[in-house]
Amino acid sequence: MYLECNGLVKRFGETTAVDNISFGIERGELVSLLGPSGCGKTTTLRLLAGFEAADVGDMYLDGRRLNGLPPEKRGVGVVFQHFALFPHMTVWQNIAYGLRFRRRSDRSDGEIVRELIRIVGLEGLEQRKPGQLSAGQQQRVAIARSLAPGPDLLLLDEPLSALDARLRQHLRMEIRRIQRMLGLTLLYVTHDQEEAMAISDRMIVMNAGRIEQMGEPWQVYHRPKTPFVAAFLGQTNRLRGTVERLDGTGWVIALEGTDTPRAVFPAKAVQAALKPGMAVDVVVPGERVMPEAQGSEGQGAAGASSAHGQTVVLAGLLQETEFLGSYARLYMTGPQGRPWTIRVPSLQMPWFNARIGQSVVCRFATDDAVVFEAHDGGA
Amino acid sequence: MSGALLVGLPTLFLLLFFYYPLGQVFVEAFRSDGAGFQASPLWQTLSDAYFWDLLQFTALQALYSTLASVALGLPLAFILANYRFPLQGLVRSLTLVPFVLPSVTVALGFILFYGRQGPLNQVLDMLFGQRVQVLYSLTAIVLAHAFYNAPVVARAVYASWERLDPSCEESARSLGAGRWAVFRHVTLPLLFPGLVTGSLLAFIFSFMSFPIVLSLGGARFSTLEVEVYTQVRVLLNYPMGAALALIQTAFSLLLSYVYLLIEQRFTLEIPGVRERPRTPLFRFAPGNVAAVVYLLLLAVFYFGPVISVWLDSVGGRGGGPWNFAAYHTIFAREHSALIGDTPLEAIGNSLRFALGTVLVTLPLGTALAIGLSRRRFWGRRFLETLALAPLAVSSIAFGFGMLRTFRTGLFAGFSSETAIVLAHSVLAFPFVLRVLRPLFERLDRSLREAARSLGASGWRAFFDVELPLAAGGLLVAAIFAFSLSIAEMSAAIMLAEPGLMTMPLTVYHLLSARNFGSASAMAVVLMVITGIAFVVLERLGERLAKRTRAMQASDDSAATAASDAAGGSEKGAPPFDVFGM
Repeated sequence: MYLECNGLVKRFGETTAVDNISFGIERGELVSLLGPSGCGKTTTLRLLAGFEAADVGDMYLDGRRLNGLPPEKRGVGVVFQHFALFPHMTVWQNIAYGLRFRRRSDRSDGEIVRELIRIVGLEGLEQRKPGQLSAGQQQRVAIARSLAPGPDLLLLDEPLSALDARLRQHLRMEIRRIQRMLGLTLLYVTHDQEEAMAISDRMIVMNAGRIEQMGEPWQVYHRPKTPFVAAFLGQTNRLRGTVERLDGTGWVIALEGTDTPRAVFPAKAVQAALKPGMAVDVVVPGERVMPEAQGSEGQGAAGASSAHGQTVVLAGLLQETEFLGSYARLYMTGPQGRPWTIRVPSLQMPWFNARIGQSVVCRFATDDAVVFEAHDGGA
Repeated sequence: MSGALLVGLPTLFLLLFFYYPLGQVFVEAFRSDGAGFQASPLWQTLSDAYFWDLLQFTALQALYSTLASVALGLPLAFILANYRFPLQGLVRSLTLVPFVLPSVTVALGFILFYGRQGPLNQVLDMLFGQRVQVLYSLTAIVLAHAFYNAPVVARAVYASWERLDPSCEESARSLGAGRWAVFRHVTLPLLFPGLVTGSLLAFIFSFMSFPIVLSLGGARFSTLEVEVYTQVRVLLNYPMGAALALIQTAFSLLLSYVYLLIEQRFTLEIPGVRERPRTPLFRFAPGNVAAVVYLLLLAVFYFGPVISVWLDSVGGRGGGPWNFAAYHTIFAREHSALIGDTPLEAIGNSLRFALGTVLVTLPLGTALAIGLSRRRFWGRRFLETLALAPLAVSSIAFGFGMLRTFRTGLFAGFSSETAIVLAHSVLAFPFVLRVLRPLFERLDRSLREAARSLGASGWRAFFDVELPLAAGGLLVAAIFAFSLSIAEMSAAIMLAEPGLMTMPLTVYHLLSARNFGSASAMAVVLMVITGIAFVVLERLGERLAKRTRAMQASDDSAATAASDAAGGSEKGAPPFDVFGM
């Protein structure tokens, strides 16, 4: 691995911010570090940048050991959450600042700065001070500045969280474009799961100082390893069930409160070591749950098997609907009194005519669900 | 530089040159040579009826002074907050003048203005054929204290008034309250904190005031502060001086503590303040006429004494032709028996001391400000309080301690010049720290980290990023230290010796000898220097506050969602607000 972190631990007094984490990044890869605030992702970044010293563990970048090196000797660039542009310097001076400390220089400072300004699209603003720039422009300066010294690794600490939603989407594509164009190795810290999934080659989900799961975005989304990952990626629809037995096609699980008393879940849907009699949570992504039109005949009886595994049918009480353009969200009280949120493509809305307070019959395929060991009160 | 050194050096400085000297005085106050507490100077003093008279008078004059300051300051706050008139900004800035006007020059102005031959009595004589005796009385002391502290009260109340959202008053009106009810139930309670803290500050300043009581009290009136000086420097009764200094320090610390308690208790955060609607002052209405008359009287009260000094310095008082004779005596290299020095040398001394004070306090203040803001360590708040303590301790008591340690004690080998520079540095330190501390606290930590990650070493990051951003504040702090040293008289009078005069001391000695012409000339020179410092400070402070606001404004636009993560930014207090107002 180009960047390797082995068993990093960082404590602040009583709290352990980073608790024995290990991961690696390949050269030219964009990896995001995703987690809720306080999960240790920013501390991990600060350990890599050299702003904090790790209590335990090693960091290697391209074979060089980073531990103990001061920030200026690491070859690690940082883009800060609030950009941290030097307010007393112009755009040009900000970007050129890191070039003062170069050892070798095959290209002139001016050449490099000019090229970076072109890459991030700031032509004409060279002589402005940061205070005279919009937030989006400041962000571009921050990126250009961090690239100027040619860092071996670039760290971005929630670089878009200070911007409004529209700008955020645009700039994350910009970051991706620049990263691909220059072949940058980039670690991207964020708490926004959509942003992480959209931008990353791979993502690392952190919680309470530990890594919950690493993998490509589709993998993490569709096969979350822990209930926390599932919940953090927005999969909040849960059913409590009891394991009955293992049969030839998978685990047979009893689902109270549904119209499908028991269903078979294929092994790939199971993220726990199951035993008969065990309580489990079945988590279903909102877009994989299909509501039926009022009064229409179901397309397949309860318990029927299909290419997607067995179909589970359940009923919920519709609480609220939200029409969001390309799709609509239905909020309902599902079986066992749990809140369910399901997504319906916009085109299906005309025939979906349930009213608030009415019962809605839904179905999902066991293939699309994930089974975890039940844990109470948790996420 | 390591964090320990950043905090350690300034702490050592304060321990050696503030806490240790003060401790010496306390030891002396308790010394009984084995004869028990009853034999200690402290007990002797406490059982002396004279002391209790002294304490009573000190408290009483402070109380009267506070009442006078409130009476004089409240209307000013009201007018500034609710009216609109030309030169309003100027009047508002002028409320800061007392902070930089050396009090001995004001005492001189009072003597000249209120004296039997002064302009006030001349006008009274012309109008009513009568003269009044104001000088060398309680009235003179109270008036002079009001001169200084009315602006303190006015600023405190004005600040609360300005922060008061008119929507609060309007919503009370819409809920059915009448004008008077609104004032009683909404306006007054919201102004009350400012009034209380302002009054308490006025009381503290009057309680600890030195040059004014010394110059205007005459032989009959003395306060604790003045009595310490008299016992030590005139009667050479060190034990009694030490006992009084201890008591005075205890009082000043106690009062400051109460002030801090009240200030914290009352701090109200009122979000989203709309600007107050202001009515034009120059429009005919009974209230407006009263306000204008009040402002005119206030102008006479403030400009009268100051202008008297200017006029006197050019011989305008005797009715003779204007001349610069007084300035000639000041700038001639003529030895004056009165001050044991040439006046020119006194000017030189003052400037040297002031420069020395800047050179000592600025690096130490910067170090501590950075040390305190960079790391959260145990005892940080305590250390900060320790560093601010010189604000709250009687300068005379502290000066006495310095006298003891530099004449006979630990630092006996050092010159009195060194002692004065160090004393001024200690006294200026809290001001410097209060200017620099929020500055470095507000400096975004990630700016420094950004420079580091771009390849700058710790020192380079400091010089390239932190220092340029702090430059304005450093200049403000430097001017603060400079003006404080130039105007300071209490510690200087305790440490001065023949041949080692400062400008305020020269003014005092000349006016005591009733050599008013020369005293005025020297006072004018002093006022010009502090005046220049004040103007620069005012301009600079304004620009600095504006820039801080601009920096925060850009930060706000850039950081909406995530500002809570950073713990929110402090409100940008202008650097003048070192008095906690």
